Amino acid sequence: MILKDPAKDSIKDPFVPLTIPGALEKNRNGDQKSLLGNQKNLLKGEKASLKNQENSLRMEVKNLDAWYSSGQVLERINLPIFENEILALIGPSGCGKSTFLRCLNRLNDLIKSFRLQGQIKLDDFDIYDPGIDLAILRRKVGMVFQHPNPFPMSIFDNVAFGVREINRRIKRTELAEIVEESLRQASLWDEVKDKLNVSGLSLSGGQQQRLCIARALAVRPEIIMLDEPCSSLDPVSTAHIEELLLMLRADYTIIIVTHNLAQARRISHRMAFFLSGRLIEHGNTAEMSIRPQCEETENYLCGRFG
Amino acid sequence: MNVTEEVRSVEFELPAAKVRMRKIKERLIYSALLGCVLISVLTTVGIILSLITETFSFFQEVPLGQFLTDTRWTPLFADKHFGIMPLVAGTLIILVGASLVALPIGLASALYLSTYAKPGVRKVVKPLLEVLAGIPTVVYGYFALTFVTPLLRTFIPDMSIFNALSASIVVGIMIIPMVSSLSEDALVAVPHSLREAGFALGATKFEVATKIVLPAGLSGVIASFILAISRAIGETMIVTLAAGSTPKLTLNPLESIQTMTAYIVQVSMGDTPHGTIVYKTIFAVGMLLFLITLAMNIIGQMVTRRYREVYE
Repeated sequence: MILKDPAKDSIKDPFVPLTIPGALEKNRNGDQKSLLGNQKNLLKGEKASLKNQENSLRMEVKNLDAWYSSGQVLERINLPIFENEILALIGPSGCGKSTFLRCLNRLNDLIKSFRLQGQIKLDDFDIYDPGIDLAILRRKVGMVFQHPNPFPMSIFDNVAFGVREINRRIKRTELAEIVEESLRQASLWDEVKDKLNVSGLSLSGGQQQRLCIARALAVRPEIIMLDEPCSSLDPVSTAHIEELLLMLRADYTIIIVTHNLAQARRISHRMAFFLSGRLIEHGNTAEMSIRPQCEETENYLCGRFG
Repeated sequence: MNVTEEVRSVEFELPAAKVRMRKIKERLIYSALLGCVLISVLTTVGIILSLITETFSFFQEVPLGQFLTDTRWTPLFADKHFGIMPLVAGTLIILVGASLVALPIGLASALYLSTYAKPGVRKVVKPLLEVLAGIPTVVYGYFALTFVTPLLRTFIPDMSIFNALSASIVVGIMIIPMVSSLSEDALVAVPHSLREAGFALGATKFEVATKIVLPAGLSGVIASFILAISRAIGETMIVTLAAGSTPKLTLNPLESIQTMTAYIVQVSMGDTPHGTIVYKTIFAVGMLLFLITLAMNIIGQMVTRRYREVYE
């Protein structure tokens, strides 16, 4: 996969309205697996209609309510997520952004007391449909966590883990190619190419986080979610990861939870502001920064609370 | 006078006698605590010293070469032979048999409890497993002799009443809770985010449990194995009751054997006069037992350090 670099433009002016480069068509029309095996044709038809559209809709959240045993944590969330955008979820601690993120790959299913109402669509599929294969959903919607969490195995095996889950009999050479490509995409290859057999835990924090990004990329996701990926990193590593995300944007749809408003302004195209489990406002990052529609948003963006 | 002033004046105007009392009290507490520590340290030192002196005088009568290479152990007979090998072989059979029972079952239980079991099930099953650890070993010994052995003999009629197989199975059952409980603690301590990362890559529960959680908690699991094996080596009551008292250089678990611990019991229970060579044998055997468990603990620590993964 060749990484085009429209991101460079965004670095100069992050507020340019987002257009879709053709880069994604190959990715999306290629060997994409259907969430529901028997609906492959339907998916193909849907994709054909998406061609040449700008800002096509990738995911759509409709009337989402969610509860833990402690009570309601998300209330009436409606949010579209577009192809090839970087969407930043912002808001004070405990406002539900991480919970929201974990609804999108059904990671909340692991929590027994979690309950959810509403609809989340990925392309034409309701991801909470009982027929959905969770493994395929989670491959399509990759995730990077708040703290770097490499598996207790070598750098190579960390990246290869998800690929081996998909294809147990994959050839070693093929696997090595995927690992190298993923590490290159995560701009970690040059630093680790001579020590692929060393434990992933021996890397520095910033390297570990990029390893986790490579691990997520290796299964060829379409959407990448990051839950405060820089919160435990120093400014240099943070800058490294931000640059990386801007590059990845060409091929992926990226959703990032961040506490760092400056970071959201630097890298995102759209922002969604959460407060006490409600989605207060969402929109173009530039517009929202200059003219927020709601008072709460303005107060938060000005640093009056949060 | 307001409250703060009152408190302050009380603190500073303490009479000299009271201050002295307080100092004496502190010193008493210090000495009492130190004394408790010294009791256990001195006891250990005393045991090791008595082991060493008696072992030393044993080896003045029996050459070390004979002790290690002779294939017969007959200190209680007229024709005395002092080859430790039969007792080591007996202990080894029990150790291997017990490990074959306890390590797989204990580890599987730990994986089940840490990854599969619902919280409610875990709350009930874990204490139940730990009850196994509270059963007196003499009860296990009876269980081996009166239940497991007859049961086994319906399948293997030629087996002797006292046999290593039955004893080793029951020793294994006895140490299951040690393996499962300590391993489960190690597996539960694996950061939750590692499991989530596995699930987020589309892995199944089994893959997360065996490929991520188990390697991450490996040091604790190995530590539990080694502790359990040490326990099996030192186990006395079950093997005394069920495994027999026939020191025999064999690795056949169907025969009657004798372990090092069971031999020490046999001699201690009898009316062996102080200072005789038979009396001294139990110190030599005890010394070897001590060295083996010490080595196990050292290996355990080294392995734990080798496999420990560092999480922040």
